[in-house]
Amino acid sequence: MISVTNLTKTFKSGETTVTAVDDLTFSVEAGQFASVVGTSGSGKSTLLSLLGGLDRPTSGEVRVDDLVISAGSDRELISYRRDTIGFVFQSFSLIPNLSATENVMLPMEFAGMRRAAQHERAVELLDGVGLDGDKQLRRPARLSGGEQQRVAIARALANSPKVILADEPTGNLDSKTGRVIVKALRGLTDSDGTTVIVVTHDMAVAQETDVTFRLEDGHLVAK
Amino acid sequence: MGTIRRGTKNAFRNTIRTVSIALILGISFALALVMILSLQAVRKQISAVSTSSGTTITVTPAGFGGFGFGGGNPLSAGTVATIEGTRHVVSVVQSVTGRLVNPNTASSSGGPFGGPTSKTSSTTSLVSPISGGALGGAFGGGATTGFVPPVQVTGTNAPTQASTVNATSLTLASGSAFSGDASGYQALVGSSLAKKNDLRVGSTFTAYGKTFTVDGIYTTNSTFANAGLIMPLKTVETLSGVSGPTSATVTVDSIDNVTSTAAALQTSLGTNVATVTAGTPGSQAVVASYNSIEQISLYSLIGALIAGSIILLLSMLMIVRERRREIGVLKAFGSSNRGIVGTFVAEAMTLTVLGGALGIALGALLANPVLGVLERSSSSTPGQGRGPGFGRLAGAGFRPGAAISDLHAAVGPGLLIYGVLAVIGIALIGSAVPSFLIAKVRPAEVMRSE
Repeated sequence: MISVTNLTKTFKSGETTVTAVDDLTFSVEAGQFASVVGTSGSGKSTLLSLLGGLDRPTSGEVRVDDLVISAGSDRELISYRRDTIGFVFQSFSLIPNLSATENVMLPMEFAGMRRAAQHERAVELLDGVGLDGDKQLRRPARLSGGEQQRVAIARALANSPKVILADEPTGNLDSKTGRVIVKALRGLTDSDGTTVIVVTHDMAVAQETDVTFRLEDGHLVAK
Repeated sequence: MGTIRRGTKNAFRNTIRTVSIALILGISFALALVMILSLQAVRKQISAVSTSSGTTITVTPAGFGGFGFGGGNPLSAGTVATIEGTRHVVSVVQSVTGRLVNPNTASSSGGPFGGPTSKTSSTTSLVSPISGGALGGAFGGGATTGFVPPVQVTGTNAPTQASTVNATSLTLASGSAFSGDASGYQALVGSSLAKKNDLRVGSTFTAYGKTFTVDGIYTTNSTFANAGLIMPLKTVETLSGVSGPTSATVTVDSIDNVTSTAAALQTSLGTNVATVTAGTPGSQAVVASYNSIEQISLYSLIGALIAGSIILLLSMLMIVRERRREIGVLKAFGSSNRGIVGTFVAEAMTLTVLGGALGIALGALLANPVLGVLERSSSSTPGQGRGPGFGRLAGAGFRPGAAISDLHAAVGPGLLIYGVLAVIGIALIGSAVPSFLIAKVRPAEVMRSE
């Protein structure tokens, strides 16, 4: 379970202090498919950074099961990001000079897995998201947007994370492909019990999730 | 292994950029290599010059300028004893030179340079193997055609020392040398003179009206010396009626003591008795010339290495800046700073190795031409050389003109080790600052730019 308590994040912007996330308290159950919606600048991505251990809160607490992320050391945060979290980004963020398979192998390399085992699991994951054969050997530039996002999902699943954090995963996709991706994310919660939190401004995506949190100017205004 | 593999692969992401960086680095390395080779060659030459003439001092009678020049009195036994007793003096080689003309080649006589106008000149049965040539016509004592040079005789107490005949090497091809205190009618004959006159060990010839026996045949690196004779000092002094040596080559214990010992000798002997010259005439100018090449090479080497480091540093800074987002992604997936830095160091190393390989190839092609340019630009003063002639410059026999053109590049194992270390050093320097920037990249910043 992910629990967020009195979470606040402020930034200095010149002379002024901007509060991106303001005193948020909520929780997401293990295996839930949750969404965070809000307009641009409402604090969605900042919240995702804090949940993923990419940034530290100004105050408050993020707890994933028994681990308090907000108080973790740099080394603990690296382990947390590597072993517990899988990220899916809006613009896919695949490494351009690596093949689809090699992109999926990356997190496993960071986890110290043997190369042969990395390759075997990467192929298995890519098969699982529907990218097969020749396409697994292609570089990202030679894949469509939907195919790239499927590679990104396979990469996020590489180390069998408990939580998938997806930042606008359908933002760069057409609606049909977007629905396929959302379905794939939903499948993760149903089949593996993985917790999925999706940040989106697309209400159609939000409607597919179990629970939706609405942010406005850093405040949680509705659930 | 994954880190190194990815770093190496990253180096080839952008072919045009990779080729450009490798090319620029290659030129920088080539320059560095040429300068290292230049430094090695120059230092070797400086060492050779110092070895051959750097620790010698020449003492000649005051007013004596060789054949046909000036006068003065030979160095007396007392003068030689004073020299030998001077502090730091290790050895004193005495010599007196004379000329022998063959009466059958009468055109060689008669002028201030060529004729038997001094006490040290006499007749011989030998014929010089050297043709007069244009210089012989010009300087051969007024004879415009058919000039045959005389045979030079060197009387010395160190018959196997090359410097006594103005050469830098002397080997006995056959026979053996007489002792330093010999006084008989015996001689070592230069190889070309022996060939011209069909002389072998044990053969005889006449000189100064006496019959001499050939003790040995010698060969040197000097054409003129190979056409000469070496006789015992006392024999030449007696037969030519000279009461002492006309030159003393003094060797001191260290190059650091040359100047002070020369000054001490000049003071103790007096300027009216002897002229003291530190080192071989011209050698100091040669060393100075080499020193200037060494300085140019050293500064260019440092400049080339700094330029290489800066090129790589700026390239890596550009690459890191371009890949900030990617670095964030890698961090988001659990890569440590060390892992990412390792990837960039591997990339920098790959670029540097490419540049290094190109640099070695370019350097090997350019080394000798560049050394040639350095020689030409630095040899205007001492590079004219002396060559064979009748003017006697007593001393170590170093030939400045020849030595300045002896710079040659050679790549040895030591240089390759230095090269590898330089490549590693430059790659580390080139990736050090970028590594610091990598550590500063926060994955959250990448998220905000999503």
